[in-house]
Amino acid sequence: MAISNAEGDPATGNEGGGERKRKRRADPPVAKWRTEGEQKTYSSKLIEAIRRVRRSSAAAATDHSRSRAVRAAADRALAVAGRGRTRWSRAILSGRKLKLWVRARACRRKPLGSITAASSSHTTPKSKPPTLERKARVLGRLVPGCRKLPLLTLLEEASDYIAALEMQVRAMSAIAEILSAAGAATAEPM
Amino acid sequence: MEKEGFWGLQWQSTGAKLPPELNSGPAASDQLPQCFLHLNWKQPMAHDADFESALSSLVSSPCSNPPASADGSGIGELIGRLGGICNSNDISPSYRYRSADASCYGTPLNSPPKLNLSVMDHRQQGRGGPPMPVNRVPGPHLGPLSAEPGFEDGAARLSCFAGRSSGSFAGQFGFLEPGNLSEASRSESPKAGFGSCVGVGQNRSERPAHLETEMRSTIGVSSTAEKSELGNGPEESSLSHRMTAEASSLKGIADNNSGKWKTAAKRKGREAPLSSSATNPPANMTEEENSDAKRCKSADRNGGAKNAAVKPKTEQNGDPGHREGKDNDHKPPEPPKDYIHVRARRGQATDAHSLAERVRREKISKRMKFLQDLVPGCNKVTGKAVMLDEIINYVQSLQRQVEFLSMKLTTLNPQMDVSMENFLPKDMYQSRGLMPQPVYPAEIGTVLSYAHQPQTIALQSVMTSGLEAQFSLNSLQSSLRQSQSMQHATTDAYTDAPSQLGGLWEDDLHSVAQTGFGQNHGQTHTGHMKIEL
Repeated sequence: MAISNAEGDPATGNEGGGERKRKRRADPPVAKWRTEGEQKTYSSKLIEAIRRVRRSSAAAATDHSRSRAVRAAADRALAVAGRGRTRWSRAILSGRKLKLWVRARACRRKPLGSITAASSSHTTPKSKPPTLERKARVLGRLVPGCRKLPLLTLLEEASDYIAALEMQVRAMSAIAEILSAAGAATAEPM
Repeated sequence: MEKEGFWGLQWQSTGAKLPPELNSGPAASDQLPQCFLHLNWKQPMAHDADFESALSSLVSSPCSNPPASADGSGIGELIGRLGGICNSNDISPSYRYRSADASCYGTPLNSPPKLNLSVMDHRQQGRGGPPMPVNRVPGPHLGPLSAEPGFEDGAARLSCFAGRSSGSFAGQFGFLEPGNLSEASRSESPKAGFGSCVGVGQNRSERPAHLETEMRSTIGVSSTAEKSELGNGPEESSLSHRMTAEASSLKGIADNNSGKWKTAAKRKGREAPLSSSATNPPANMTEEENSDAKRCKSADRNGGAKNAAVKPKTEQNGDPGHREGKDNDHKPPEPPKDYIHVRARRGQATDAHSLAERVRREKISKRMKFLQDLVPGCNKVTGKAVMLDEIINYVQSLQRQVEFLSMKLTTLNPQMDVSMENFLPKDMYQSRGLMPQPVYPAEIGTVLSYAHQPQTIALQSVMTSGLEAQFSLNSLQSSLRQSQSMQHATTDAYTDAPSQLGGLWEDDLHSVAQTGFGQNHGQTHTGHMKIEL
């Protein structure tokens, strides 16, 4: 079937020649994440990965660990789908250690609070650090492999990462829905 | 001070010529005594139609300060002439008049008579002259201005005048024409004042390109003012009015402009909207600069559309403070408005760093805008900090969603496995001659498109997704055959096909995925499947 491309291709701001080139570079990749074909590809890969995880982690009964493994597999599949053109995809593929994960999670929770505080303009006065800088660091921690990037690249990576994440969420929810439906279906005949 | 006087004179001269611009000059220009401007401008008027515009822009540019004192009436004339000539922003950039005050491009101060002549010559020449490589985006119009070689000479002279006050000019002119600037800078000291005057005039008016070039060549002084204006606009040739108004504030303006232009210079041709420009508040400039800044702002605004009015950065930024800020205080530094312009702000170092930084900021804002579209609900949010907050929150929420879904899939996995295993016994893998199922691919497609179908179909879809990967396998064919029945029948097929498919999936999926689909599938339906994957 025809793959709808660039469904949500944001209007490339054709600001200037140079900018245009730059932006064009950033936009199409983002649009790519919205195509159905991409999603399908990802779904199939994801299903396979999940099954493999299932098989491999047969011993590990913890749902938690398995879910983490599934999540890792999903992220890796996402990175593969990204064809390694982005930093975060390469970072994911080049070794996503569990400790990084844990650290990310921990850090995520912390910034979460701080960020919310900041955004919600809590009374906590931010010690006049370069606010933007701080937030950039936080974002860098969120996006895998973008810890110490300058804001410029960070924003670019973030946009691609957000698009990829959206696709991942869409694919996984669809799969989950299908599976659950299938499960229910299989349960019936049984 | 002489500078101020210069300014006034300048404006005067230019005033006559640039009636249109002057009149419409930015508010700042109001201050400049119109009379001043008219005085001197009359002369140049005759010949410089273009100059007028340029000059007016010069004058009208932020030099709202009425010349402190028309001390140099003669000078004023010079300035006026120059202003007219140099209205084209070009002039200023070339003249890297350090004299901050010398916001005005043309340093008519030097010698009115000379100026007139030179101005004339330049004007005519400059107009069509080689476009000055004005850093500003609106470069083209600048080019012609600076082109005038003769103009340059005159401008050089003027620059001498401006040298004094053209601390800012230097900056301004710089961007306009590096070459000219050198000339102008030569005579910096004496002409600083001049330059500033002239430059000032230009600040705001979006002088037409030709004006700019002219201006550039002739006046390094008004670089600042003009530059900003030039950047803005060749579209607006409100030089005239500006010139008048800015006569007094030339100096100040020049400084401001120079600041703006400096950055702008770097950004030649860069996208217009440079927020950075705004960031370069003509801090250095004195009040004059403020007025200039204001004018430049207006010019910038106009020129903003042009895109990155990368006005030649006026190096006046450094000296702008020197300008006799007549009354430029009234205008707050333009920089805020120059946000979109890539202009060297007055008072800002016209070094590469500022320019680069401005460019960087531009890029960042661009990316932020892009992200704004990506992240839902960020349209009203403005400001990098809040936007970043939103982005961070969104990424976190997405990641949490993924985590949740993965957990869900994990729990569902057994279901998947179970159902798969039930349906697709592993021993089914071997290749079997399966007939291509044209319908199947369609099924697959629909399935994968996440159409919500009845459960039976849903299961099929799951299998089909696996099928896709296994096209090349003959076993697939067999399973397809079986699944074929599935399509029509429901549960029955499930038991058969799914089991086969399940087995196929597990082992063949990998290989299939790697080898590509439809390898050996002589069947037509592979084509369909291939498409999917």
